[in-house]
Amino acid sequence: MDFQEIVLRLHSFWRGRDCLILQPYDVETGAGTFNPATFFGTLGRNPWRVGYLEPSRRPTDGRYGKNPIRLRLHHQYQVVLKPPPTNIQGMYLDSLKALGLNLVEHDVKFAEDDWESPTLAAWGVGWQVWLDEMEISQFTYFQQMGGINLDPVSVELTYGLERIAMVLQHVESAYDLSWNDKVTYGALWWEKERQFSIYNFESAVVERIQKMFILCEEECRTSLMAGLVFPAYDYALKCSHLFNILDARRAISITERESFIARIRELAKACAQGYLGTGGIDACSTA
Amino acid sequence: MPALLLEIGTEEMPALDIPCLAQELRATTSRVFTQEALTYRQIDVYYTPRRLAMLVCDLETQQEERVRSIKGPPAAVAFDSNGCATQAGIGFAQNQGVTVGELGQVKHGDKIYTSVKRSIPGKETAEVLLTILPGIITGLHPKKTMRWDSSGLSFIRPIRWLVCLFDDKLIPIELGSLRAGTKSHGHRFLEQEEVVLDRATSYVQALASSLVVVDPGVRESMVLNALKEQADRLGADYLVDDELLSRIVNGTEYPTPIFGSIPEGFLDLPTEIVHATLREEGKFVPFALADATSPYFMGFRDGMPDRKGIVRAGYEQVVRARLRDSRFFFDKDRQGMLAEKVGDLRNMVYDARLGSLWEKVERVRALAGAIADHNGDGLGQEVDRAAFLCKADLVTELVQAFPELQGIAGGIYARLDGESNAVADAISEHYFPISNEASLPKSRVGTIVGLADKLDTVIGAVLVGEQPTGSRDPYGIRRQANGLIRLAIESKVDLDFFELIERLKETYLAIERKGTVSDVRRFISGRLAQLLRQRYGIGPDVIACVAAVKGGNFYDVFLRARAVTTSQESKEFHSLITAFSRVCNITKDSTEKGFNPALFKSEAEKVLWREYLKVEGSLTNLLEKGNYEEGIKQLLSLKDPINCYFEDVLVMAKEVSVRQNRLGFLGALAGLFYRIGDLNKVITRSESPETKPALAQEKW
Repeated sequence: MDFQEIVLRLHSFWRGRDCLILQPYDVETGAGTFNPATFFGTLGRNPWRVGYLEPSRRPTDGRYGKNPIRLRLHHQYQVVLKPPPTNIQGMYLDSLKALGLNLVEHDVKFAEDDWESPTLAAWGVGWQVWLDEMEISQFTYFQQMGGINLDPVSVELTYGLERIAMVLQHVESAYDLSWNDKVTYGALWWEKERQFSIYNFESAVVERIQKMFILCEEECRTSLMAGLVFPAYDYALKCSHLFNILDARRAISITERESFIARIRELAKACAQGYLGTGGIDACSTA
Repeated sequence: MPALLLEIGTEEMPALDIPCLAQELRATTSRVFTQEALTYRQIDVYYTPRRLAMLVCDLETQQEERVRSIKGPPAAVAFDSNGCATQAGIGFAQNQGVTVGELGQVKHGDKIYTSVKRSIPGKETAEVLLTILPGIITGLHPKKTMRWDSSGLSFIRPIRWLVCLFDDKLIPIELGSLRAGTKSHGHRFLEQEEVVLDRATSYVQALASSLVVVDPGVRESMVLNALKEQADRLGADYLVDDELLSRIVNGTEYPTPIFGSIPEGFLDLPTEIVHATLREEGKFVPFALADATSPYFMGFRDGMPDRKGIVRAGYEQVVRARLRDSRFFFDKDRQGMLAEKVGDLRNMVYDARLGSLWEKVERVRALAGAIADHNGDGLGQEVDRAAFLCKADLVTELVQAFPELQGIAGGIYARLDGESNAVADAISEHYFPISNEASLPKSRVGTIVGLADKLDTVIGAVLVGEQPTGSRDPYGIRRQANGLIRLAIESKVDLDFFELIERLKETYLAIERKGTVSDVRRFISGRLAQLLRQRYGIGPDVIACVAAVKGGNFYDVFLRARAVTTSQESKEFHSLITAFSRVCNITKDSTEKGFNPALFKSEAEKVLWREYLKVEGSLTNLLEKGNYEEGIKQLLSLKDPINCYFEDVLVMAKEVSVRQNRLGFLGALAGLFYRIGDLNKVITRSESPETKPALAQEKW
């Protein structure tokens, strides 16, 4: 099963379970959780069910294209269900079957792994899902988002698509995956991985990135004051990404690190509060 | 007799937390059942990642009758001074439907009240269970809880079903939106997952036939047997510690061994790295061969045997991917020498108040150097080199990926860099012992660097005010101090650590303090006393005796404690202490130090003086060799001369110069005994503890 077929099957599976099928966000994110569809969608009492693909950028994970499984950009498939259905574990396992996995022949374990994002002021409880001891998904019951206790809670399913595709295609390097029957993952992504690794680790101009961080932070705050939480959140995301680049450039000392994270967290918390305080809330409802 | 089954069905609970939760379920149930007068024989608990269950065996079907006492007005109000009931007393009796004569008394605080005893007839057990079981479940305290629906329930993971059977009768307890039924769930990946239970006692069997082994003891045997068999076949050892074992046993409902191997291309990696990679996240158990890196490992799948080898292939693929990662880290680390990484420690914060790891290394070097000056056997250079390098592996990729390889990774890299074996071994060993029972460094250099590292951790933590309180011990310095003391005692390090701390206190000048050097001494002394008692079986009185002098030389304290403990049993020792007490009592207010033997007058005085000289000489000699038992025997020979002395000599003579001379001499005599300790604190066998209250306890 090629890479794009996996995405299509997951779209189709979750569309069949009342999920809106959305698109990746067009601002850089480190994970599907940062997409506003999850950040804002998990807040408030409206029911919310979405599924989308999220290319997730993690500058420090870059390996110049030399590591078969560690990637600066990997593809997550993200599902959020609020409130969580009682048979959510079974639903998730059914989605793996929909990808052609015969679970009776494999070893599937839900291994404790509680999730926390200090920058989003968010945490949850859940597992890594191991398929034959390979981590293929993160399964989390969010308890808090943007510093706000969630009621009802949401469940988040994050599929690591490269990992799953490697099992399905029996290959040992992500670059050997077939994207479709002609084009490989490597053909599409290897050069990008190489260039971005050089950029993130060696060439990004620290001073400018630092300035950009400050500009984005200010833009976020100004937007918040104007009651514009969605534009504000875009700039909070940019701050988060710029921070990740600075981190990869090793331009952040350990003591500064905490304060950078705290600054982004404050922005995220303000966005969450602003969202609940304005009428924006109906933008995230599948009722 | 009937049995009660309660099964709490959950989504997968964290493997390491389940045993504790099951014990809490047992304890809570036992407490509540006793309160509720429900009689039973025993409670068996069962658990897997997806369920927490208990079988209460031989539970009576009827709650026992209980007697409740109803408190009325105070006795002094209900009855007058003649013992006649007042209006209040009569009113209370009438309200309760008894006669005044039937009123009893009950003490509450320090007041006496009238009371009426009411017997409450026992209810049907089934009825009581319905009300108390939900509270037992919600009263459990998992380490971390979560919410999953709008019922307000919180637990370690979502509860998805409940089974509650009293014999064959359903007890339909309710919890949140759930109601107990008779349906349990078998293994997740069975076609027919549902299991209907017809009676409580068929639980274990019924689930076993649905591929769920609910008894963790049985699962553990399944795992260990599989490992043993395979190890025997390979002529190898399997490497499993308690944590890895618990992750496997409590992470599966039906553990089935999957045997796998590693391609030869990875076997040139150091064995420790291969093993750490396999053990990562509690996944695989490595096998170890005596003379080579073993290419074999075992994993445990949850479910049926892997007939097509699909799981095995998957496991091997994961292991290869992980090893490739480890190789990447290893190669990257090897691009520079370990010594070059020491400088990077400047950028790693050890503690905001205690500075970077570089600064810690500097302090460890100072301490290690000072220890080596005294106990280094001429290994000063190696000690300094090892101390300099010992934390460098913390900046390696390998240790960042596998924190448990700290020290070990440094040892590997040091050896590859061409450092001497003494230095490489010391780096590997300097964190030892890694638990209270774990082994100590074997090498002298490792011992010294280990002592210095632990000592610095303890000093630093206490100085910044992070002394442990209750269960809070952010630096784990109880364990560090225990390691320090064990290392000093069991590796025979004859050194006064308190003197050392005093001597090197400038090393800690820059630190903003909340604690003092004497807090450090007090904390370590407390650990020493506890360790002497718990690990080495020394009585509290003996500990108080020996720690009164030179308490910072832990090895010496231990030797003296052992000698006193041995001597304690003899009758003679008791009279020696009596003699010593007389000397102490008379000299306790005196500050006289010197004396002139020429001024001795009586024969008894001269005899004791001669005896003193003899003992002093040989005692010094014996104590230098640490032979305290023999030393105590020497002191015993002073017993009779002391007694004679006190019979014949008036110490508090009128003539000032004579008095001062005698006090000065007795002071010196007491000093001999003090080389062993403050013997006044020792309780001998022939004494009862009451005559000498346990001073030791207060002191420590």
